[in-house]
Amino acid sequence: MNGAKTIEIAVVGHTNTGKTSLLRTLSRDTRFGEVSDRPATTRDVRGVLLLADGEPVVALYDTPGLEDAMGVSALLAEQHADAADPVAAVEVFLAGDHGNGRYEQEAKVLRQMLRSDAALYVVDAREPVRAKHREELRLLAACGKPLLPVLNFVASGEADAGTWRAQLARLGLHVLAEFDTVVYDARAERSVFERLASLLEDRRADFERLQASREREREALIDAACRAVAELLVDAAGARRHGALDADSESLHEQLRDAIRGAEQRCVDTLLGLFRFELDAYIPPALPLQQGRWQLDAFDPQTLRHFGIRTGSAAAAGGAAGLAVDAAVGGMSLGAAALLGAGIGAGWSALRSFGQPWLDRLRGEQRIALEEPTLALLAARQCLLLRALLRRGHASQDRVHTDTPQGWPSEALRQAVLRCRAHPEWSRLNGSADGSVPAPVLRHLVASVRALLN
Amino acid sequence: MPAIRLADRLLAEWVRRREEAAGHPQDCSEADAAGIRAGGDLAARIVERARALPGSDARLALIRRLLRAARVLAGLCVVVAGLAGAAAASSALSASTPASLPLVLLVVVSFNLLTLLLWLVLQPLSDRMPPGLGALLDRLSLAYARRIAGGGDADTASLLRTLSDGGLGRWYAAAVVHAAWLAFAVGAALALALLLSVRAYALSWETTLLDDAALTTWARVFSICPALFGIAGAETLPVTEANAARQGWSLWLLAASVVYGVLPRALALAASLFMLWRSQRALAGDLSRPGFARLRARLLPDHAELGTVDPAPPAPVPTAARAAPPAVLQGRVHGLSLEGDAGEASPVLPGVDWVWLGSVDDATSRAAVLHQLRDDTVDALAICVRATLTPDRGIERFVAELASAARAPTTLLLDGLDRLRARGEAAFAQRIDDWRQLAQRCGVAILHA
Repeated sequence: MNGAKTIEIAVVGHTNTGKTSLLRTLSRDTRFGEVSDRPATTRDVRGVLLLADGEPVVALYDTPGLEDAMGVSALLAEQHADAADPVAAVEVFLAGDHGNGRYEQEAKVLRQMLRSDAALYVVDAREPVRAKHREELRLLAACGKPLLPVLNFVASGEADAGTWRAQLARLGLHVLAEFDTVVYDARAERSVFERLASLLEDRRADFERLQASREREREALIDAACRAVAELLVDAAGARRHGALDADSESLHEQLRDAIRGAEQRCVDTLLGLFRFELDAYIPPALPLQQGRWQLDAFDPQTLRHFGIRTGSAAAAGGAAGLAVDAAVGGMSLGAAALLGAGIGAGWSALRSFGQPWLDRLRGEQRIALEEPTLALLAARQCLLLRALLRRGHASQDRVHTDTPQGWPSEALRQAVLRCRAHPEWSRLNGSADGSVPAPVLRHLVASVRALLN
Repeated sequence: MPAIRLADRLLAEWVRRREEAAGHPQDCSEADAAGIRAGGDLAARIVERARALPGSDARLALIRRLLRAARVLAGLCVVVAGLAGAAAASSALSASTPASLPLVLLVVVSFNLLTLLLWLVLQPLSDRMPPGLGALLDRLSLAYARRIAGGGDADTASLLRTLSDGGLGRWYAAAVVHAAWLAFAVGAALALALLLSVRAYALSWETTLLDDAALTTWARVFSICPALFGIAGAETLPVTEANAARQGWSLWLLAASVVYGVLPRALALAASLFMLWRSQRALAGDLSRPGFARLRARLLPDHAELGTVDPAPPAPVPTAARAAPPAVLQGRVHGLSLEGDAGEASPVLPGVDWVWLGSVDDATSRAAVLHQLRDDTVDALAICVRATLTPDRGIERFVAELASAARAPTTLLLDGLDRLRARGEAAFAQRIDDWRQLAQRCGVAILHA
C-alpha cells in the first residue's frame, strides 16, 4: 500500500443506470449487490475493495440511485441558501432531517460523496440528457469532489455517447470514460482507471499498480482457458472405446459420446469458473456426434500423413516407398509393406500406429474414435464460448449465447488437433492412459487457440 | 520464502489431478482460508491449501513413504553396485598372472562406458522407443510402488501417475542408474588402488589375437585421456615389456579407471540430478494448468467485500393504492410531454382536442406548467412519457403534483413501447407493471398502446 490509505471512490448516478453492475464487472463478482431493471434496487451503501496482489488499493462504494435531485436542490435553495459555500450547504442538509425523510436516499449518496476521494457518475447512455441529470451533476459538484462520468450501455444500439459527451462538456465535465458493464472491454476498463488517476494525480502510482496486477491476472486466466480448450481437444482427438467385434456397437458409440460430453462439460465449467461466471450460464446443446468410426475402415488420409511423417523422421525413405505401394492397394497391406520397406525402426512406428487395429481384429475387438467433423465442432464451440466470455461483463444477466459454429475455427488448429488423433496415450479419456501430452505439442495447440481470440 | 518441499508439491499435483478429473475444485473453506493465511505467491498458497484439505495427512504420509522407498531403493542399488565394482576389479586383477591390463580395463570400464553411450544416444529418441528394458523397469517399479501404496484404487493410481509424470520418473530412473554405475566405477577404482598398493602384480599388455603393433596402437589410443591429466601412458611406457614399468602402468590403470569410468558417470549423474531437480521444481509450479488457475480467485482474491457501510432506511410504507380512475381522453384535453424532446408535438389521438403545454423538463418549465394548470379550467390531463424512462420517485412526485394541480381526470400515456420491447419481453412486462403501480399510487389512469 506504500503506506497510503485506500483510495475511496463513490459510485453515484441516477437510479437504474447500472451502478451495482459497474461494481460487479469491476470486481468480477456476479453476486455483488442486487441488479434489476427497476428503480431503487440498491437502497444501502455497500463497498468492495479492489486488491492488487492481495493488497487493497481502491475501495468502491455502491450507492442508492438519485431519484429526485430537483427536490433536494429546491430544498437546499429554500432552507440552506445562507450557507457559506455549496459544500457547507450540503453538510447542513445532511445534518438535518433530509426533508422529513423524503430524501433519505439522496442523503446517503451525498454523505458517501463527502467521505470519498472521488466519484464515478454512472450514466445510462441510452437515455437522453435531461434537466434531472444536469441537476444531479450540480448537486454532486456541490460536494467538492472530482467527478468522472462513466457512460454505461455504450455497446447498445440505442446509446448516444456523442450527445452525452457534448452535454457533459457544457457542464464543464470534459474527462469521461465509456464502459459497458454488460459487454466487457478490457481497454475501456483501463481507461476508467487512467481517467481516475488523472483526477487524483497523487495516487497515480497506486492506480497503475492496480491496473498492472489486473492485466497480469487476466492474461494468466486467458492462458489457462486456452490450455483447458487445448486439453479438451487432445482428450477428444485421442479418445477410444473398444469392445468385442460382435458386441453392440451402438452401446460403444454411446460410451464414447458420454465421455466426450462429460469432457466438454468439464471444460465449459472450467472456463466459466476461471472467469468467475455462474456455472449455469452456458449449457452446451447435445453433441450432434457422428457415428464413431471404425479405424479399420478406409485409413484416414490425415492419419496416413501423420504416419508418413513419423516413419520418415524415424528411419528411412523406404518406409515412404512402402507407403506408396500400400496406398495403391488400398491400405490393405500397409503394416507389412512398411515393415519390409523401412526396417525395424519405422516398422515399430507402423505397428504402433496401425498394428493396433489389426491386432484388435485378430483378437476379435472393435475400436472406435471420433470423426473429424465432431472434433471441428468441439473446437469451434469452445473457441466461440471463450470469445463470448472474454466480452461478457459480470453484470450480464442473460445466458451466454454463441453462434452456430461453422467448421474448424482455423486451419492451424485443425492441423494441431488432427496430429493428436493418432495418440490415444495422450488422452485422459481412455482410462489407463496417463494423458500427458508432450509440452511442445500442447504449447502449439494453446497458441493456435490463443491466436483465435485476437 | 522457504522452498516448498517435494512431498508438498506432489500432494498439490495429486490434488490438481483429482480436481481436474472431477471437473471442479473441492469446496473446503477451511483449506481456502489456510491457503490465504499462508500468504506469498499463488503457488505457495495452492500448496498450503492442498495440505489443509481433509485427508491430506494420510496422503502426505503415503507420499513420504513412497519417497522413502525410492531413496532406499536408490541406496541399495548404489551399495550393491559399489560392491560389485570392487569384486569385478579384484577378480579381473587376479584372473591371470601376469595380470592383463586390457582385461582389467574391459571389466572395469567398458560396460560402464558402453551403456552410458547407449543411454546418451537414446535420449533424443526416448519418446519413440519400443518398450524395452526401460519400460519393463518402469512397470516393475510401478508395481513395487503400488504394493507400498497398498492399493490399486483410482486415487492411488493417479498419485503413481503424478510420480512418474513430467520427467520425474524418467530422471529419477536415470539418476539411480548413473549413481549405481558411478558406485561401480568408484568401487572398482578403490579396489584397484587398494590391491595395487598392498600386493605385487605382474602386469602385461598381452593378447592372443592382436600383434604387437596393433596392441601398441590400442594402448596409445587408451592413453590419450589419461595423458590429458598428466599421467604417462603408452607414449613413454613400454607396451610389449609392460612388466618392466609396472609402477607406471599401475598408476596409468588407476587413472584410466577414473577418467573412463568415474568421470563420465559423475557428469551424467550431475546432469540427471539437475533435470530431476528441475522436474521437481516444475511440480505445482505451472500455474497455467486450468486446475491451478481456477484456484486463483479463491486463494489470491482480487477483491474483498466491505459489506454495508450505510444501511438502507426502513422500507417505505406502501401508499394505499387508490382505485385506478378510467382514462379520459375525449374532447378538450390538456397535454404535456414529461422529459420529452423540446418542441415535441402532441400525439395524434382520435376525438381529442389538445391544449398542448409542450415538453416539460427542468424546474422552470415544471413550475410554469403547474401554474398554468392551476389557473386554467382543466377537463382532462394527459401526461405523455417514454416507457423506457425509469419510473422513479422524482417522476412520481411530479405526476402527483400535476394531477392535484389539474383537479381533473389525469391519464399517464406511455409511448416508445417498441424500444422497450426491444429489451426483451421480461423487461417490458416489468417496466409496464412499475408504471402501473406508479399510476395507482398517484391516483391517475394509465394507457399504453
